[in-house]
Amino acid sequence: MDRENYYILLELDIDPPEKDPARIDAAIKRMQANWSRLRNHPTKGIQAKNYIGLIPEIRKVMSDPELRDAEAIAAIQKTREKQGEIFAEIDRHLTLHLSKGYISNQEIAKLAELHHIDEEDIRARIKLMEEEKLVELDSQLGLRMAKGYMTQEEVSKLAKAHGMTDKDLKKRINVPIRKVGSTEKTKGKSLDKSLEKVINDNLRIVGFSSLYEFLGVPETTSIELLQKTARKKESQVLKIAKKDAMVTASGILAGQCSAVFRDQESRASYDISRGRSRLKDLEADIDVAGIDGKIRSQYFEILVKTAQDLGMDQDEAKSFIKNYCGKQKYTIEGMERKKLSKNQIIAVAASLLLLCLLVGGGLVALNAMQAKGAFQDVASRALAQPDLEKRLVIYRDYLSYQDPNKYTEQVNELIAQTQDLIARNKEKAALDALDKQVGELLASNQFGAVLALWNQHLKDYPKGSQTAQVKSKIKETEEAYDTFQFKALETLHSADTDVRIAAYVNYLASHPKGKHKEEVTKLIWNLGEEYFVFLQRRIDLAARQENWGQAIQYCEAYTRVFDNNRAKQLSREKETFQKRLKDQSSYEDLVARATRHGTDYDAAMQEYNEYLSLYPQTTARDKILEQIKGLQVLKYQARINRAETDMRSRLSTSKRFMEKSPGIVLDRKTGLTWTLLHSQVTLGDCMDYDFAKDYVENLSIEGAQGWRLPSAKELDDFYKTDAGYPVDSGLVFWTNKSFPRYADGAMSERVVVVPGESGAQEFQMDSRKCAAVHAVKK
Amino acid sequence: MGTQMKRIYGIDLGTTYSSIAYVDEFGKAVVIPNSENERVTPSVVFFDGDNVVVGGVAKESARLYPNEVVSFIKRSMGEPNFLFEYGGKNYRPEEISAYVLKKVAQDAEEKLGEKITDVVITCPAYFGINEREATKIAGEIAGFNVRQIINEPTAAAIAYGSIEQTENGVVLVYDLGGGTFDITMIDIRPDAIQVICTGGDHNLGGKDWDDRIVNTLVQEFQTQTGSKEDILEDPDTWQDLQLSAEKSKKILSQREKTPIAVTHGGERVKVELQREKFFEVTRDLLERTISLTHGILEEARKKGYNRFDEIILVGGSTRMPQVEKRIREEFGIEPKIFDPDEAVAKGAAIYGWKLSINDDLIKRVAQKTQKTVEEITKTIDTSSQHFKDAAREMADDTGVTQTAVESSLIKIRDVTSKSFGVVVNNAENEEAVFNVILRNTAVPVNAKDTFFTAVANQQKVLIRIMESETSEEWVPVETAVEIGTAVLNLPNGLPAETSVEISFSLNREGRLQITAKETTESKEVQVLIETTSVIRGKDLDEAKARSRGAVVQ
Repeated sequence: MDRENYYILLELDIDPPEKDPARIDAAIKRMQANWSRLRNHPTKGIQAKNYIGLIPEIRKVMSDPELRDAEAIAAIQKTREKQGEIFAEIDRHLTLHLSKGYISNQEIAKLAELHHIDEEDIRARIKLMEEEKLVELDSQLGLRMAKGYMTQEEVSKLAKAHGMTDKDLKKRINVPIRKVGSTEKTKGKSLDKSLEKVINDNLRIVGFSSLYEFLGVPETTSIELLQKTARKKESQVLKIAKKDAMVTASGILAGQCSAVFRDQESRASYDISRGRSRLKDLEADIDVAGIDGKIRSQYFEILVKTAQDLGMDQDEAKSFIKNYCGKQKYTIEGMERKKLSKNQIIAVAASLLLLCLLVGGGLVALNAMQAKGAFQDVASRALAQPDLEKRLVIYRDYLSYQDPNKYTEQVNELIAQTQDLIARNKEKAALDALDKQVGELLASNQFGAVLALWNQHLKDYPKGSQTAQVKSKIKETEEAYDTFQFKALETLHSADTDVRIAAYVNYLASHPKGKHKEEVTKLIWNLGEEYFVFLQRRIDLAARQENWGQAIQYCEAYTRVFDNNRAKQLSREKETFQKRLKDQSSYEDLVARATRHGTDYDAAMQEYNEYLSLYPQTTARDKILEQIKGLQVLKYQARINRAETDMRSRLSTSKRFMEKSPGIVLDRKTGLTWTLLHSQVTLGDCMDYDFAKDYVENLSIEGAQGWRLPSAKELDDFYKTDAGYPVDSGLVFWTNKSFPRYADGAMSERVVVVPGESGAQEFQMDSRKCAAVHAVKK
Repeated sequence: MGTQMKRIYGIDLGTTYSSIAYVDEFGKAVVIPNSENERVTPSVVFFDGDNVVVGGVAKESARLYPNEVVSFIKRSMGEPNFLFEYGGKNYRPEEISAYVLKKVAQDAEEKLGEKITDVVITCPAYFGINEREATKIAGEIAGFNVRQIINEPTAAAIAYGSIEQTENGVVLVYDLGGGTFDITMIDIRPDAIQVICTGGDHNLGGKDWDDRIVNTLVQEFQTQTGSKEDILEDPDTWQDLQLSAEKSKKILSQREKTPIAVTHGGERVKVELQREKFFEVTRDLLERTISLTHGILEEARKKGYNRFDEIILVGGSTRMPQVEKRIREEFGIEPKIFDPDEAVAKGAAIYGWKLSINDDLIKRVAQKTQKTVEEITKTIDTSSQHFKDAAREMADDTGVTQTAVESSLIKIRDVTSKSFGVVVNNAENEEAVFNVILRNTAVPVNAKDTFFTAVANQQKVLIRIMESETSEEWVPVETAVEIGTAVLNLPNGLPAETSVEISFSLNREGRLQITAKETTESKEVQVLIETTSVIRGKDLDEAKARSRGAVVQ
């Protein structure tokens, strides 16, 4: 899209171009204030924002003489192009008038006035147009040939419109010509006009002609791809930080794409609107043709042609123009006289059909009087016998005693009839019984049982005379069952979602062709979200209880019924649960394996650690880490226990030391109490002085608190003199004795004691270094 | 009550409405009504001769004096070329906003009989550096000590957290205001409020819904009269329709339809607007909020937040029933409408209260420890005994309970809604923006990266500081906004590819500070971003002077 010309935008003179900096500056300021005012205008706001954003660039161009001159030249060119556009409109109007073969001076004058140009200019255009006529014809042909064929009707119309014969015109056509060509068009709803305006206004800002072009896809793109592209576009736009008018407009358009292309119907509305908006030009043409309140018949033809150019078929075009003329009160020449002939409706009298009843002639008796006598006898006996089975016996007897004669066939016939009658009677009796049973069953709404009975009957009497009747009864029952079950569904409104879904699904299964299939499908569909939420809660609960199997079942419950995004979501969740289920069982195996190591905590920990390094992604990771932590505690506990046991055995012979309560030792000699174990054993590590101090202050053994650091003397007494406390050599202990702090107060020298055979040694050590603590209290 | 703490007020400076709140002596956030006794004041400024009128009267005046009235100024915050011209003077968005701030504060002062000096002002989370700076300056022009600019959704979450005694929970704040839309995921815990990520569009709000109604009315007018005139060219008609549209939008939130009269050029047309129609012409706007929400959920997932517990709706525009319905439909969760008009101002007030308690506590601790306030502020340790003592004393002095004082120490952690970086040459030797701080990073944040000079004996490094919207490290220059530049002068004779270290530090309020260091001689330049998009220098001084003299009604 070429950018705005600043001379035109600032409404400055271009012929000759304005060059006075003061006036240019004033114009910029004026427009800046103007645009700022329009910044929040409902329709012009974004354009105004666009212009406001241009101001620095405008200032730059307009203050540089070279750039400014170029701008002025561009402005003149642009204005000329604009005039060219006006001529295009004039040409269309001229075509209208020329179609009658001439144009009057009065018409030229009116057109000149309408377009604010000289009459001479119009005359010059007329001359040019004659030459362009053929070019125009070809372009119109091109439009029609694009569909792959042309109709004879179109050919004739075009030929007439261009004053040519069909034959001449056909020379320019390179597609087949068909007789009938009007295709049916679906009539849909057009987009809301104000929305259409929003879309068009913003398209103008970004320089595109349609939302399709905006998305960069052909108009034939599938709706799915359109939605996808729209979403992509939306996120693209969002990523741009420079929120200028282009981006703002693009954001709005991307939003519109999502809304317009949300479904086929709405997309169709947009397409229809686009088509309709092209009619505006047509309306303008009609206005020109009706400049004196009357549309000449030649004009009418041309208007129809223009409308066809826009894609209407002929009838549509005609009715559109007529409607518009009616609205604008233009009369169409020729139309007012031409009454439409009414189709005469011919009533066709129905002819009567005569049915002839043919009566079969009597039998001619000749020589076989005897046979006749026997037959008559059989016939009369049989008729007198009400029991049909017995009647059959009479007939069969006749056949066995008489040689085949001319009555044999008749008797066979009679046998067949009788058999048929017997079967019918049986069937009827069965049906009567059935009817009674069915009545009872139906009274208690046992439709299933009823259907089973009917179907069994059909099986029992596959060629029964009542089959059709029974089938219709089955159908009735099925319908009643359908309605009954559907009604039952309606009572489920307040039931739990899963109950409802199950009932609906059950309905569909038992009535695959049910009357309410669509309604029930919709009910299910409507419950999609609710059922999802319902299941999600249960899934959450199951997940919290780590009942993965159950969670999977819930997921499947949904995916069995639905195939939507939620189903996809749940399928994914299901996969996670399946993984968890798998992980859970291998976790259980792992725990069993680890437990088998008993008190070999290191081996157990190794099991866990190996597992973790093999399956770092396992969902049981946290639990495994928990296990390891537990083992570490156990290991620590075991170590302490060992150390305590060891120390106790060492003290068991001592007269001086006594474990007065678990973990606390009384020194009978000094009366002080000490911890059974020193920190190096319990913590397995040494500590700096600050830590040591915190450690003793917070130390609590079996509830005993108030521990402190021993003095050097106390330590020395404790470990050295008179069968001292057992100790591993080489350990250094913090005492409470300190030397003055350094000036910066950051560290201090502390005294430590190293117990040994030849007496404890005392020396100073940096408080940030590491030593052990043996806590003491009174 | 003994001594009085310095009160810090919270102001919600909205696109369409503004309001002010404070925390009363019972520790409860309260909105202060204006002189018209309304709890929200339209953010509309009417220049009436020498007087400046703000609020409801100004809004109604728009019908009669469309050219003297400014509305929706917040949408132009940070736009350098926006100028409102009146009486031969040009007003920038900051100055116009200052009038709105003055009005709400002035009315509150009258109600409470107390001078307002310190304020916390809110802005959309989605505001960039320029817009935030402009908001702060607006406060300064109005004569306030702007203690902090905080994000609207964060403020709403603070208010929500202070009322709803919920357990730990991840909350999605869907804030659809008059002019802006913010979507923010926040983790609310008893001891901390932490923003996880945020996004939005500051050109999407209730006004856009109004505009669609205006368009529909214009169309209807054209259809009924057969006229093709663009009646919005007439400022009177435009303003009239804009007001009617807002009213009918509110009515349509309650009813199925509403009659609207469109009067223009002596013609009067009655339009009956159906709710259905309203939904249809605004559907795309609502869809945009949904898309943005999904964008945020996507970002949150990257940060390990796969779900959220609640959606709370704030901002007046969430009263439109379709918003709630659409959210329920999309996310299968019942959204909570939470104090849509007042939550933000109240949250800001609570934040201000917290600041003033902190101030007071620090002062007390300083006295106890014989240290300066600056020293204490630097090494603030709220768990120390001094702090506990100070809190107890303070509770005794002010009558605020000790728990309330302690609860004010709740940690609030926000994120940046934009990425910040510099223009450098990438591997293909093309100019591109390299982001040093990525959006949705928790603030305050310090980040640095090393870059290299392009040629031997390079004299200068031009550092172009860019703001962008993606979480990617590299972004094309054209999609980012330049928010400032800095020049680092280099010593002579450096070889090519000398390393230059650029540090970005973004504070809690979203203010950016840049340091660049040439490593061979450790030459360092400190760069405070001077944004061009906000009022500065002479213009600012003039605006401040005008504001001091102006009488706002």
